[in-house]
Amino acid sequence: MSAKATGPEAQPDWEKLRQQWWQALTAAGVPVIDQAKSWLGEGWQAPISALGATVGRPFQGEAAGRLQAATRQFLGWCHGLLNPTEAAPAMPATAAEWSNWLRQGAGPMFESINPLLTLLQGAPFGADGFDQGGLAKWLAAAGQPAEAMQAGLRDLLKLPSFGFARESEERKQEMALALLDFQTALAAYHGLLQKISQQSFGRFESKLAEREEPGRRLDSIRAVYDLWIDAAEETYAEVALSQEFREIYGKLVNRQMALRQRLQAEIERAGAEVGMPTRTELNSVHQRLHALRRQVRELEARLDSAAGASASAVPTAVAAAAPVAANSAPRRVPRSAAKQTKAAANRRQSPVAKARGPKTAAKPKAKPKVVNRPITRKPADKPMSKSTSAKKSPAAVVRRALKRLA
Amino acid sequence: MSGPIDLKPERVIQELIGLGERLRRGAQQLRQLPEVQVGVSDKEVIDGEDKMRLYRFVSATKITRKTPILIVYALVNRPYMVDLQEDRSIVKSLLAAGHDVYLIDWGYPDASDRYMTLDDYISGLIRRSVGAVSRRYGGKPVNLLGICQGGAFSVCYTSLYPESVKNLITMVTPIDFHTADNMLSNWTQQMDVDLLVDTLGNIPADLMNWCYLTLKPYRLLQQKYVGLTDILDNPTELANFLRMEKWIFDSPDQAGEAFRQFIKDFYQANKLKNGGLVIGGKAIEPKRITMPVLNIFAEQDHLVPPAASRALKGIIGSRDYSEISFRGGHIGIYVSGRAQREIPPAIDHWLRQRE
Repeated sequence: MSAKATGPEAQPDWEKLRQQWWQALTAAGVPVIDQAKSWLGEGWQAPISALGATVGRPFQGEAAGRLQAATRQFLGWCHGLLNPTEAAPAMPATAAEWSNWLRQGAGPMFESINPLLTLLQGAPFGADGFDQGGLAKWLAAAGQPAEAMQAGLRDLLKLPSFGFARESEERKQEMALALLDFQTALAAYHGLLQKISQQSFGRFESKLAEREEPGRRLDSIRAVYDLWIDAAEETYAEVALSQEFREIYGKLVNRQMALRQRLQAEIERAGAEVGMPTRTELNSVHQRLHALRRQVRELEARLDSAAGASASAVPTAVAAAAPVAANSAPRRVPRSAAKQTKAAANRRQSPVAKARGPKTAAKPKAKPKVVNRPITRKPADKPMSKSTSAKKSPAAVVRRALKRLA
Repeated sequence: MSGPIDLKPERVIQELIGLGERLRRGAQQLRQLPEVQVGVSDKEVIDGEDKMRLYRFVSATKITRKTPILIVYALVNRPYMVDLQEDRSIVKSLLAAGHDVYLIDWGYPDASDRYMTLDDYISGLIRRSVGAVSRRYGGKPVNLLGICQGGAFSVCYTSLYPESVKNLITMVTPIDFHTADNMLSNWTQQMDVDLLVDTLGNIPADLMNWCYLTLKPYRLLQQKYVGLTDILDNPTELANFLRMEKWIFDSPDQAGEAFRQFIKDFYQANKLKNGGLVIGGKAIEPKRITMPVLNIFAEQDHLVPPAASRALKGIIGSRDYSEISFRGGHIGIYVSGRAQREIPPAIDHWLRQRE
């Protein structure tokens, strides 16, 4: 563009040129534009698909999957942006026109591909993530409860049951009611998300209006996209902090759990009938185990307290416990550290020893010994070795504690 | 006439073709990058119980500081965030300053840990770990550095056993769970957490992550990955991104009972701030925290808003209370370049003054 064309007197020509550009951008028949549109239509599938082919590196594969999904949505949005509907054939000028253009032209981004509106589809325990088959499938298998609900299904489900199978029938009725409750809550949640999506346009328009001054205009697709994200996120945050969201979200979670609890109970009943151990039984064992563990800890604390060691800054019950490294992973501890551990093991008795007499009390360590040799890292989730577990079993600790008390 | 959007066709075409090129090259980069590695400093196991491990980081620098630092991390993510990579490691900086640094790794709870309570964590595992570290220093009190939820635990622990803590440092620690900008808190208020825990047992990590992602769904589910296309052809930045991505999604399940208590007492009843918190039959009285306290929070923290952290000052009994307000977010405070330059030196300086 010449220097003359940029002057204020040349503004009409410049505007005309912009309109021509815009027509070129949105119309078919210009080779380079068609090429770009073609790429947006199909061409991007290849590089995006290539992202998924990161075989052999599971984590990279997962990250690539997330990248794939997001870029696919973004490019779908770009495609919509460059293929306006008949309702907005002319080049938008004002913030309101642009907002409207984007709403219509890039509809999928704002509606069906909007991440907010598809939130529960990928969520764990959400619409598609519920158990293995997905709740959506479960719902499909259950027919169309929403329609049935309109036909008075709730009333039917509240009818009393009779006869040999009445208990089982009643549970099924409760489950069906829980399902209807969940569907109502899910619909309310989706309605709220839809509302947020619509409200975000008002904010987007305001943000666009702030960009009308020269020097602040958006000159790339990414800039438009980022501004829309800002608007949508701010709108979402406002609603997500509201009392309305709190109540709808709370209901959604509670009703989902109520339904899930009934499903689990039915599965457990079926499992128990064929002699399978159940979650309830396992929970009972785990509960007892933890209760016993707490009792041991309390007993140890009382023993130490009785031994008069409570004045020490070192938690005394802890001081009596055996360090793990010495027992479970001796090869991973360098010799110098192993010596320290041995010394520490001797000091384990220090609170009691102190009560008996100063001669046997451990000498305070003024300085830690620095270990400079690299240590092989041990997986944090690896369970303790059997020998350690055996030595530290509650019964053994109680026996040892009683011995000390004696 | 001007308008808010000035899309020039050639620019749009360039933009799109450039994006396609970056995606092609990115696919290649992703295949070539080695598997993601996290946690760079050597460390040794010095104690443990069940799945918990107490680590001591091995320092190449001579330890010159008299009091060791024990880091208590949150249950909801893995603690290697404090030692993520060579140039993003709070641990490395503290070691270089002559500190002896220890870390509690809670491990990955499974169904057998469902009945672990807050008392088991605080009076059990933290107390045990403090004891193990303290024992190496002749029974002297230690410096406790609590991060996020681990900070709240550290406040509770210190209230119960103040004699074992010399200095308390909290980072991005929630104290007031009812600030107006706390989205997570808003969501939990009407939740029947008893029903939730009774149904699910342990709270699945994926469910927790999904909650965090939906705090900012547009940015975290979509824009972040569109932005990733900008660095796809930069192996270093891509590796950094993947490391963070691993940390975000490598999350442990939450022990059911501890979760129940944490949501009810902290999020719903806000007892840490308002009082009345009882853990394992013992009243938590933060006024018993009279030792020096350093409270570090992030100004753009969407998980733990600054006001939620700042409330610490009002509940403790210490007269030596300091704050550091970091310009960044909840994650940036561990791993950003500025964090590396500002946070560990500030901790070191503060501790040095109190040695």
